[in-house]
Amino acid sequence: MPFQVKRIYYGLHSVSVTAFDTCNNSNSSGSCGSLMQSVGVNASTEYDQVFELGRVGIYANIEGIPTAEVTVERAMTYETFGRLWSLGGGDPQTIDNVTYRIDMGIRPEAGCSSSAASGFVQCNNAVLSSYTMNFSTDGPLTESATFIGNQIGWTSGVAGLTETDPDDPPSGIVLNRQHVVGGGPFSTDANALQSASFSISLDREDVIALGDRYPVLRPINFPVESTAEFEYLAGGEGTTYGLSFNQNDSGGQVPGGVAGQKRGVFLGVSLGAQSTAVPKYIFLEKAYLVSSNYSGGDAGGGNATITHAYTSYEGLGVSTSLPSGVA
Amino acid sequence: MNNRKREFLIANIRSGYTRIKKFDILVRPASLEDIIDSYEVYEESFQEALDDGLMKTEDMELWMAANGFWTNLDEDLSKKIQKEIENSKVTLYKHYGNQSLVRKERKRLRSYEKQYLSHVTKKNIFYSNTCESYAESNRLIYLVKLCCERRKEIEDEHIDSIIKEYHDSILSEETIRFLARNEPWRSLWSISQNCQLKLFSNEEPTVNQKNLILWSKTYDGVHESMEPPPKVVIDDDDFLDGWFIEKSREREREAVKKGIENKTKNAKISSSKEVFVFTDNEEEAQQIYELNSPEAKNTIRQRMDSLNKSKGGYVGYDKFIDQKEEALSKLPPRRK
Repeated sequence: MPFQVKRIYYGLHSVSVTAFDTCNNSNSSGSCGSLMQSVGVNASTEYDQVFELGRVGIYANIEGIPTAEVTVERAMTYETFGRLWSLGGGDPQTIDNVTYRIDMGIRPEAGCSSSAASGFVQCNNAVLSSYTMNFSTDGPLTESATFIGNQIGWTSGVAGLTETDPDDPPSGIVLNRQHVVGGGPFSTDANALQSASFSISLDREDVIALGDRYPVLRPINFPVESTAEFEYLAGGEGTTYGLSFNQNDSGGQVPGGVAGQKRGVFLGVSLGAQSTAVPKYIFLEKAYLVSSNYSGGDAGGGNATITHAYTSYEGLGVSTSLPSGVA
Repeated sequence: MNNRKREFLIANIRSGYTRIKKFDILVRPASLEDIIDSYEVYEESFQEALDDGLMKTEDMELWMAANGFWTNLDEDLSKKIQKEIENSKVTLYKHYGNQSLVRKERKRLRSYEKQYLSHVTKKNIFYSNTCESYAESNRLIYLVKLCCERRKEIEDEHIDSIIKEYHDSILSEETIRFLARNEPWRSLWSISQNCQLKLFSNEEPTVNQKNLILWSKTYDGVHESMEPPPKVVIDDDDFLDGWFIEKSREREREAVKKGIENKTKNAKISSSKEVFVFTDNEEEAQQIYELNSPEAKNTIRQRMDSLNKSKGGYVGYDKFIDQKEEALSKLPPRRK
C-alpha cells in the first residue's frame, strides 16, 4: 500500500530567514523575519537497499540523507519590497554562493510538556531554489521563496528568535493593489491589470564528495530562467479598460514586440503622491513573449482576460531605478 | 413515561396554567403587562437590597475570589469538567452500538455531571445573599400573587412553598425533550404548521411552552439535516447531545480550515506535507492543531517526545519515527 500523505498543521509564532555569504554559516549577511504569513515544509528520507547474492531478503537498508524543501511566504512593505530576493544579493551569480538558515518557532499543542514550548524547526545550509513575487487584487502583495537543504531538524531553542511584542507598533505600510504603478507590457493606469507575477527558478546540482555526508556544493545550473505573467481584462473596442488580443503597446508594437525581439517588462510600487519615496521596481531584462492567452468570458459571467507570459535569461532585478531598455 | 402521563403533561403545558394542588391554587400565564409590572417590583427590591448593604452579583464574585471561595482554579476546573462531559457525550454517540462501552461511558458521564453540579453549587452558594437574588424572589412572589386564581389571598407563611411548587412545575429538559419527540405532541406539532391549529390557549408563552417549541424545532432540524442520525441516536438524549457537539466541532474545524486556506493561498505551501500557519495567540494555535488527523497529532507528539529525550536538544528529520516509516514504506516489497 503506498504511503498516504498526511498533512500536519502547526501554529507558528515566528520565522526568520538568515543569509550567510559562505557555506559554513559564519558571516551573516542579513536576515528577514517580518510579515511572514505561512511556511510549508516537504521533508523526506530515503533508504538504499543492499542485497547479497544467495540471500533472498534484503541485506541492509542504508539510510540516505533527508531532503527538505521549505517554502516561505511573506507580505511586503515598501521598505521590504523584494526582501527575500535581495537578502542573498539580488542576482543569481551572488546567490549561487549564499546559504540560508530558516528558523521557525512553533507554538506548542495543548497537553504537550512545557519544554515543547521552545520547540523550533531549523533548516541549515539551505540554498534558494525559487523565488516568486505576486501582485494580486486580493490581499497584500506577497513574495515567496523556496529553499532546499538536507540539514533539517527540530531543536529545543534558537537564540534571538523571539515573538514580536503585540504592543510594538508595526512599521511600514503593507503594500496592496493600490500601490502598484506602471509597468507590464501596458500601462496599469489605462488597462485593468488583474494580476501579475515574477518568478525565477534556480535549478541546483548536488556536488557530493567522499568523506562528506551532505553535498559539499549546490551550484546553480546556468542559464537561469525568469518568467513574468500579466493578466489583463479583455474588452471590445470603445471600452475604457481592457485590451483586444492584438492591442499595440505605447511603443506601437504587439506585446512581445516584433517576433523574436526582446523587451524589458517591469512592475513598480509607490506609496503615492503624499510620499517622497521613489517607486521601487521588479523587472526582467531582455524578455521574450512566450505566450498570450485569451480566456474566460464564459456564459457563467466570468470576465474575459488576456494573459501575456514572458521569459528572460538575464535574471530578475529589484531596484529603485530601471536599467535602460526596460523602462 | 406512559401515554396518559404524556397527554396530561401536554394538556397542562398547552393550557398555560400552573396547578398547585396543595394550596388549591391555579396560576394563570402572565401577560406582558404583568411581566412589565413585575420588573418595577424588581427594580424597587433591588434598590432596597442595595440600601440595606447587600452585594451585587459582580461584587459577590470579587468577594468570593478574594476570600478563596471561587478562584480562577475553580473556574478552570469547571470548564474542564464541562469539556469532559462533552467528550463523554461524543464518545457515547460515536459508539452507540457498543452496549458495554455505552454502559461504562454513561456511568462516567453521570459521575461528571454530578461532579459539575456539586462544583457549580459551590459557585452559587452565596447567590441568595445578592441584590439580584432578593429582587428576583420578590418579583416572582409578586407575579405569582398577581396571577393567582381561585384564591383571593395567599398567606405569607405559605408563599415559600408556593414559589417552590411553581418552580417545580417547570419541567426538566429531559422531560421536555421526551415530550417533544413523542406522541401526542409530535402529531399536534406537525399539523399545527399546516392548519393554523392553536397550540396554546394563552397569548404569551410560558417557560414550558417556549422550551417545548424550541425542542420541537430542534428535532425538526435534526430530521431535516443532510445526514440525520439514526433513530436510536435521536431517542437518546446523551447520544443526540454527542451528535450536536460533534457537528458543532466539525463546523468549527471547517471554519478554521477555511481561515487557514485564506492564509495559505500559495499552492506550494498549502500542498506541502507540513503547513506552518502564523498565529498570534494560543487559542488560535489550538484550533490549528485541532485540524490535524489523529495520525498527524500522534506524529507531532512523537516528535516532541524525541526532542525532549534527545541529549543535544536537536533531532534531525531522518531520526523521526514517522520519517523512517515513510521511507521504509516507499521501498519495493520484499522478495519471496
